Amino acid sequence: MIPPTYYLLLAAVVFSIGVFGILTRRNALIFLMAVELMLNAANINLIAFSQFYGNLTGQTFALFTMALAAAEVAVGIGIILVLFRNFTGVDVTEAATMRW
Amino acid sequence: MAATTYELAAFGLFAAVTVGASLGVVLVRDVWHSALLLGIALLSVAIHFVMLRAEFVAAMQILVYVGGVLILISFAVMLVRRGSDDPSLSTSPQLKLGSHLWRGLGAVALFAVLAVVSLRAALGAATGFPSGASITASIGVAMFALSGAGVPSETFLVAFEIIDVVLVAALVAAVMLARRESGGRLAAIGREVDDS
Repeated sequence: MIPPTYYLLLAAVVFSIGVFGILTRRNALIFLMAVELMLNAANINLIAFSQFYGNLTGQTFALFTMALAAAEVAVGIGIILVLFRNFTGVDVTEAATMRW
Repeated sequence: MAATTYELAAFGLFAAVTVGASLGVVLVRDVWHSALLLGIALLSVAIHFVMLRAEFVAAMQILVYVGGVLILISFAVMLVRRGSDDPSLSTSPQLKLGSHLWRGLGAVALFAVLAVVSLRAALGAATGFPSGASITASIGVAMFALSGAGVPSETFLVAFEIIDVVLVAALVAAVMLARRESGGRLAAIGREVDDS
């Protein structure tokens, strides 16, 4: 059994990469992918602890996270397509008409 | 139960694949390459799940993420692309040393905090799954609050039903977003709006 600390560190790396992507990129599609990376990091933690403590709550919760991620992507793609139609591009810094 | 050398080697290899592909997602120029690298990252996470004895979750990871989410993202990439030399596809990384340096340092600081917390956490004794119990069957038992689980878990019947409603609401919302409001006719998704 691999120590869960290793998986915690792996998940921390993946989550930080997702945060970095959201902070630096301007393409809305990259935002969506970075959010997927962060959700996957959370899933790695849930499943690592599920195996460590011999309790299936983590695995079941990871399945719910996946369902929510699918819903989030469906709405996110819709929003990106509306963004593309209204601003003819997916650059999130261009959509500033509601900025005050 | 200590980790064998093979386990550690497999973990190290696929951890490297996961981290490398994740870095590629946020660093490569072409958004289509980002999507493909995201697929590699998701598949390697599925391999981690198999190594953690979560075979059912790994199968769902491949079916839902690689088969569903990634296909949706690929569709969106193709719909918003206007040609191979489209400047909006390569909006970055023009990694600017001013603002991007601070943001990158913020991400690194977040990782440092997470790593310190992970390394200092007192995790207690490993229990492991009971031998001989079917994990997939126990997930089904936990999800529908039945009795007869081989592996201990909480029950999730209410959460299951709520996720059901959330998925329907999300799909209806996606359809609502994708159609055009004016005139009541359906929009040709991805075409330029000329009467906006």
